[in-house]
Amino acid sequence: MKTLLFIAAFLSSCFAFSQEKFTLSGYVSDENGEMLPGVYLVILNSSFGTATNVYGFYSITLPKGNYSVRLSFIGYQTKTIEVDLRSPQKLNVSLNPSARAIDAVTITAERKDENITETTMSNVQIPARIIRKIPNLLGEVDIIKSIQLLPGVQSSVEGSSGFYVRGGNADQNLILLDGATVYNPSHLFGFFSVFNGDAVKNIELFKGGMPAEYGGRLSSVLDVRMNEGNTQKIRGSAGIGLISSRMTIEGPIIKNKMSFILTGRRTYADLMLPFAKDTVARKSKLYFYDLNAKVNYQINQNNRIFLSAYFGRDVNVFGDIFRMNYGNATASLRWNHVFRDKLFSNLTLIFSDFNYDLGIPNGLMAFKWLSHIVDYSLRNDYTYYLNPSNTLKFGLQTTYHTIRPGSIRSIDSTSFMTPLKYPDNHGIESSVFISNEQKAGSRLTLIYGLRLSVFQNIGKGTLYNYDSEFEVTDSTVYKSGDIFNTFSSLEPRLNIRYAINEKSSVKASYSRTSQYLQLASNSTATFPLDMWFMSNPNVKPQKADQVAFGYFRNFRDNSIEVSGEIFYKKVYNAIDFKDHAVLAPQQYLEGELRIGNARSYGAEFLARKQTGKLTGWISYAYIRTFRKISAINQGREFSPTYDKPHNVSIVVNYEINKRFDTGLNWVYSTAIPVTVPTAGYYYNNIWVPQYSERGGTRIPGTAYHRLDFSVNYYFRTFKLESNLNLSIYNVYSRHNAFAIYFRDKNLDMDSKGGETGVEVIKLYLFPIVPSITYNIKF
Amino acid sequence: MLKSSVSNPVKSQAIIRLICWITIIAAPLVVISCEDIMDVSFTNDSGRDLVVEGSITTDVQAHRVTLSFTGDYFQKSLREMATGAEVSISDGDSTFQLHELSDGEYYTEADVQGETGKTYTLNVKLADGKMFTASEKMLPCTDFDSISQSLNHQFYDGDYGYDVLFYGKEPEPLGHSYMYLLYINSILYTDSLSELSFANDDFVNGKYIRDYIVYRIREGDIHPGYDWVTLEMHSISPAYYDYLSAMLLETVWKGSPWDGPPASVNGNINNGAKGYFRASEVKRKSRRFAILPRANK
Repeated sequence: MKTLLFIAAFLSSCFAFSQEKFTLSGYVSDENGEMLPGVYLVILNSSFGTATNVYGFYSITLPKGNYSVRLSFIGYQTKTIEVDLRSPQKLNVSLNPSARAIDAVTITAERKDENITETTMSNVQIPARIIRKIPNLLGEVDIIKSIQLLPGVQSSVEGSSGFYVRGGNADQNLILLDGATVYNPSHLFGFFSVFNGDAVKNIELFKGGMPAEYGGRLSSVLDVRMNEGNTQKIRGSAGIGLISSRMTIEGPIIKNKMSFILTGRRTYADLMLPFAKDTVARKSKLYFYDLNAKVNYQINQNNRIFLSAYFGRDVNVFGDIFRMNYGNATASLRWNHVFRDKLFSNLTLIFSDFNYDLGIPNGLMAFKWLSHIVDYSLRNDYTYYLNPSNTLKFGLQTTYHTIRPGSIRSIDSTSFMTPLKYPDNHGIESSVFISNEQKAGSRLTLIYGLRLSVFQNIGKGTLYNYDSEFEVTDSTVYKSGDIFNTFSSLEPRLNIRYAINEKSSVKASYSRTSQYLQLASNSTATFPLDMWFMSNPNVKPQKADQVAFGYFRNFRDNSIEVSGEIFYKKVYNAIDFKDHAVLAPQQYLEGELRIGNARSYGAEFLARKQTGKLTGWISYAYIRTFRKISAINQGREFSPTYDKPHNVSIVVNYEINKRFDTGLNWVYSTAIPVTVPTAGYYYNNIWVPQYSERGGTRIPGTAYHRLDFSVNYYFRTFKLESNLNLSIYNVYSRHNAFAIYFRDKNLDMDSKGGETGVEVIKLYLFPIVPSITYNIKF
Repeated sequence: MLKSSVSNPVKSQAIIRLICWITIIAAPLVVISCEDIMDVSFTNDSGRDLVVEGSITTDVQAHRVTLSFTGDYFQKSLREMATGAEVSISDGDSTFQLHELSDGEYYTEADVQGETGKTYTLNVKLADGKMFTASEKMLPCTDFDSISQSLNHQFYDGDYGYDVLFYGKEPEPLGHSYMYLLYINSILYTDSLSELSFANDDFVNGKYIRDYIVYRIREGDIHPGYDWVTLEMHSISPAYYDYLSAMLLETVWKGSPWDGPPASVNGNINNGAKGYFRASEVKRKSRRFAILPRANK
């Protein structure tokens, strides 16, 4: 029935025109040739309008005639272009950035009402230039920490790059870098994210109402797009910070046609180690680096090719005791083609890899443990700009996943460690989708879509069978190429917007999402050794339904956007882990899983000001999340540790004058739930806690709040544009709880002996952390 | 091969230790990780549960079962013993009665010897009539060759002492778990779970193990040239291996940022009682430690 309705709506939209019409299409870029996504094109004195897609392309079909097309994008000067449309027309436009706000009084009239005119809800875009101004930890511009400041997005613990969207787990976020999945977005035990602020152009986060073109994760999509490189001239920039240095070089290979960008970053916290007294420290290494590269070739008006790649690695060597390295690599090759002005196609080949190795380099216990996840993926999607009232999107994607859960190599001939290898897992994840954005009258807009996702387990593979006690009974080995299990899921998606008037609209959305890959992790802090595992007959796919309603209103000539949303989300086959689960290394991981349901609900409010001297936002969210899993908490519902109901963020940037601007953040969230022992006993001379309920207690005074502050000073060094950034993280040095635990005083060897009793310990990470960064452009 | 327990903590013990190392070494370099002792107090008024700590081995001796009750975790009072209980151990054919020789400590007769391959069942009837039971199969323990001592050298924590090194073949097939106890002149040196060494054969199945540091003895704890050091190797069930790992996760290893959610540790006693009743075959080797000077490092 749903399908029939969908087809009917689609057909009715196809036959709704008669007049002679032509298509106006093209790309919108900035003055350096960097494509701009999300630029609004409004046909003045009409109700028509469109926006550029993520590749900067737009297309609009209009009746023959003269038009004034106004292009607006925040941070850029609005441009109005006269078009005499008598035949299909290509029009590429470049926008100039608005000068720094101090002398920008002349350009305040631009229209910025996408908040209320866009049909999708629960999504936020943040351009990288805004992220760069947010005060940060140790001078590292961090995309993930900046989205944690948005309503509905929560962080797990202090300084972590794990994030939780509307009560969803950290592994329920699809993190894409130029279309390639990033499996582990963190560096240095999660304190920093893999996205180098200098390489990123734009990010978009979907918290709900997921468009049909996205899938594979339950809770959110974080779509990160890399810069493409200056097509006009060779430019560079560099930054020196407290813990890392960065450098970017970009420029044309063929002017106006082909450009490149190369960005690198390396931390140097370990450069002092060779001077350390301790021999272990002297032989240790502790750093991370990453490289982003992109080449962009505009063959002609209708064909563009992009090649983008990321490579990053964390290196941790602790003398001869232990070493551990991990990192992501992604690559995507994309061909954008425009068929007859109205049909935009995108063909992308994607590679993604996350792996880690750890071990003891030599001696009797020498070994090397390797674990790996690799994806090869093909995506082909189309946008068909049918007419001003209908924009169709359709496409398909198929991904071949390989997970190597682990193998051990004995790397020293004297070692008595047995080499071993857990069987590899292979899976094919495919999807087809279609959606239409339909303007039904002047007030109502709908985006309705359908996504079919299919997941198949394919040999060569080993499937373990488990009994009701989660013990392995036997196993079945499948030959290479054998498809031994297939799951499929039909995922309807719907977004509705109804414009009440020019200043306000209401929106509603529904989405069903499915997830076939998940992370084996039961701690709240990001841990590099967490590995992904796939659905199979023992692990049913997780599914989620989410509904959301919102009210959007703009004030003061659209300079202030205010919105409120409420949502309810239900997760089926939610995966959790048994008590004291051993997740890595683990051959029989499925025996450690416990399955149940989860639900979350909440309300989010956001007031945002994006223009003028004073910019920023204030957000408040109330979010509750619960899980009900038999075998955990005696089958009663419980809150995971990231369940923090009240969340406030205030993000402010103020431009004092041409040379100075200043930023300020304040965040607040409810205390984390703590599991408090209900009894204790002696066993083999140690004092052991016993619990009756997981979570449950929030200790007064442990609410999280923190103030950050930054000042930017802009000046010239040898005629080169430079700036100095001073950031202070945790200005009033609050000891925010990273973890709260209970400790028997006698177990701690450092304590004064003989004392009895139990202490409540709060572990915290960062007191006040000032940092300074120097950036230069050349 | 797949008969072993699903829960397969393989190298987890070692890995958790390595993680501790990472935290210890990395933390000061990267961040300033600190602790506050919080000024909050809790009290527990929940009921008393029985705690059982008992074993039967292949040694000819009076085997002990200790019965006590849980108390307020935050007060950490002296433990309340469960007196006046009726306790017995049965192997299916014969039943051994235990006698309460001191409060809460119950012993078999001194001539009782466990037999490898048999399943032992502990029955407890408390003074108030509540009944509890636990069963454990005694698994075989292959004999090892010898132990030796290292030079007197400096440990990571700066103290000097000796390593106790293990030599022996780990037999096929996969699935063995072991617990080690160390005695100096017949006095148990490793008298707490926080010092206990235990292992399984997941990464070393079928290998000859040599120079494996099974324990460390601090310099001041031993008189070389006089003292005899005895290492006992006990076969344990994979379930007891998991139990010990979980106990350490909840106590000694607690406090890393990567802790999983806290949870009660459940042993093999039924009706909600805590603790464990294990059955082990025991092998032992002794050696008189030689006088060795401190090694320079």
